[in-house]
Amino acid sequence: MNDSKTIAALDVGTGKMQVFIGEIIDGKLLNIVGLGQNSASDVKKGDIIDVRKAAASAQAALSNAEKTSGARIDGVCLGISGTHLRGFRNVGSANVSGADGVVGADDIRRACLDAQSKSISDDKVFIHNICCGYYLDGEYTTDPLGKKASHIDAEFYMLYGDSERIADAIHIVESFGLEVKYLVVNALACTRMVTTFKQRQEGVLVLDIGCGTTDYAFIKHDRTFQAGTIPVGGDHLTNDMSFGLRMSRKNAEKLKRRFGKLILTQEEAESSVWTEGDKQIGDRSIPLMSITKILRARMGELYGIVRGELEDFFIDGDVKEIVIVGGTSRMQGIRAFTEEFFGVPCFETKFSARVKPTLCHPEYAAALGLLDYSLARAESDAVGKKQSPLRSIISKIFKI
Amino acid sequence: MEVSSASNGQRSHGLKIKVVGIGGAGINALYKLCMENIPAVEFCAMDCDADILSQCAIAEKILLGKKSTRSMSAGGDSAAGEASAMEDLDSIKNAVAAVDLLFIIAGLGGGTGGGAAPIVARCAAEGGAKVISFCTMPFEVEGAQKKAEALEALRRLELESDATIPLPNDILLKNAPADAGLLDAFLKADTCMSMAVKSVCKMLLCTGLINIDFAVVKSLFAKKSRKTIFGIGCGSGADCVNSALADLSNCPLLNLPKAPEKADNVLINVICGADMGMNKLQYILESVSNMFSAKEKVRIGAIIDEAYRGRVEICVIGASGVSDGTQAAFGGGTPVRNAEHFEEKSRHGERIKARIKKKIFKPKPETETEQSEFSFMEMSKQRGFFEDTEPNMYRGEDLDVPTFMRKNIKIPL
Repeated sequence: MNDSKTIAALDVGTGKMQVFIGEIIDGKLLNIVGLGQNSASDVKKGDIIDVRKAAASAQAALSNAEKTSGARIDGVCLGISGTHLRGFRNVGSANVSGADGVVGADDIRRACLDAQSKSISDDKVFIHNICCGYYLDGEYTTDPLGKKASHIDAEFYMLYGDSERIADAIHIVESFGLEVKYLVVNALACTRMVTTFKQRQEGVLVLDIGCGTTDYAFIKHDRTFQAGTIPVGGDHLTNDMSFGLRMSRKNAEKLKRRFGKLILTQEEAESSVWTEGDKQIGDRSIPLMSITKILRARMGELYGIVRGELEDFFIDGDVKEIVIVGGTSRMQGIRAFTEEFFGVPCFETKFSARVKPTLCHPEYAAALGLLDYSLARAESDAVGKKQSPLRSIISKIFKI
Repeated sequence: MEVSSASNGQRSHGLKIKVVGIGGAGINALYKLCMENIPAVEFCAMDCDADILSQCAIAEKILLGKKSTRSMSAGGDSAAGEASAMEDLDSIKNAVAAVDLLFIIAGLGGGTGGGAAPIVARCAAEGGAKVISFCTMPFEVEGAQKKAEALEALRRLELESDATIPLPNDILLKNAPADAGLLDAFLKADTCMSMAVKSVCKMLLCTGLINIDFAVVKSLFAKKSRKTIFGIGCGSGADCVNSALADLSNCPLLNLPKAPEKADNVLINVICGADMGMNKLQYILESVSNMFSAKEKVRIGAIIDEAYRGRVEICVIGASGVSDGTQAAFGGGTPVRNAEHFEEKSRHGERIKARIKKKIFKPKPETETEQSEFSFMEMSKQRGFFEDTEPNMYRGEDLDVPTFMRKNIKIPL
């Protein structure tokens, strides 16, 4: 008999709360059985403004998902984002102890412990300690075990967040009587879902441009070298249009979805569009060029910040490709604009073959990635490779 | 005009070199260059302002944006400059067609220079030309906004050009006397640009003791590099070589805040009199190689010009941050590639540590919120949907305020 359990992935997004319910069969196979959505009006730039309202919104999404799937949720994989997330790189060192100069498991462990020994202030908590690779006498490798060297360095990227904000996010799930199984930074969640192994080996930058934030992650040698969140997203594009074209936010959003383009043809550059299209009182014509100017200014600025954060990787030519997901990735001309700005190819997002074609939408990438992450963790927990670090995060936050 | 015959020591190549001055600052510098009487080089002026073009004594002129700016200036709006260039794309393409080496000279931070220069560079590159851009950057006193616009234009120009050499007016003015006026500062920038263009043209067109031809320059920029190194040093007298080297190391263009200290490929051109000995050339080669830590990828050219008896001019042009594919520049094959690859890897460890220093708890300066340079008091209230959230500060600017407002981009309605 198959051993199956259900897990839900909750993506607390700025635009909406998304829940995917997946069934993990024999700890290996992931089957998506339910989907629930609800708008999230009390989340801005990835930060929860009103915990109560946000919890109500998340619970509605979870209930919807449970209803559509008919399954009962055992635990939740919670995706977080927001302005409070920060990261830094740290290198830990150890001398190879064996007389034969061969790197052993204990040498690696000591270097890793040294790298992770950095402490942060009490109001912050580590979410992920990601190993970016090792240096054996200064030479990079992903697998140092059994190789000859006198000195080993382990490079880690440490992602941390504000304890209070993370507690709020956990509270949203726990107030519904559910357990948070895994806590994942959204920037990391979707990377495996929308990139191929080859891309991750060569160097790929994944940009998840959502409503309130842009999550980025740079992966090379199949390891995450840097990830983070920039508090600018589709909401900023809408807000800019609302100011620039002097219209309500609602109309600006509508116009952005219908006519928002980052690249215009000569003909389009000279044409105009009607705000409502019904030619009634209040309807007016707006040059397409004006919409594009506003959008390009904002996207150019956002990309400038991304490049600034990953400057070293761009200078060294490590970023070989860019993948864009999230709601804003649907904007026309965004790929061409991305290539023009970064000078790096940006192809259409290809989802993992495990995802049903009907679910292959860029805005689902984060939630699907969370489920995928749950599966990977369930597999590793099943073979006893790793213990969940979530307990230590929770005990630090709640001072248990 | 193509160089079809050898005269006055000129080499016959069929090589077509063109210098395009874009916008007010570019045309001023171009005018200065015309006065230098460099043979076998074509000049072209491009601007949105019909008045400036009508006063300009350069034969080939292109008026940009007849419809969009109605032959008036771009008004300091780079978007208008860009739109004007797009409007007259065909004229630009015709002007840069069949050119082998195109020099773009422009002032960034304004309308036409900042907006049109990247487009001209792209047209030329698409036509197969190698594009070297010299651009002046505004003075600090001209304000942070103009500086930001200039940096953005520079970034775009770097993407389209094979080599881009920015000339910050502030740095050029540093070497000027204390009582130098604004005109002197601008003149300094014009002189610097014209010297640079003249030197590269001489390198390519004059018959030398050791020749550097266009193929060498082409291979130097076989792939677009991140940073370009460019410097000129002049010396005269008994110890002209050492004084030229000292002048070169003090060259403001080599001492820019973000100038790379190392170069992957370096080209040295020496213009000297017949009294220059081979040992002195060797000395120059070694000194410049050490200066840029580029020992095995250096190429030297020497031109004998009798007018230079007792003095010497050294022009250095190099590329830094070139990806692996260009390491074998100068057609010299691949002997150093594997060694470099190993070196690169071992250097990586050091770079990581440097990165960490930079990245660990990267302080988001809290004082930035109090920056007083921008008059944001009114603009800071323009946050709309984000009114009830904390300011979203990044480098002294609130990202929740619409970008076009902060960058002063005009939105026609």
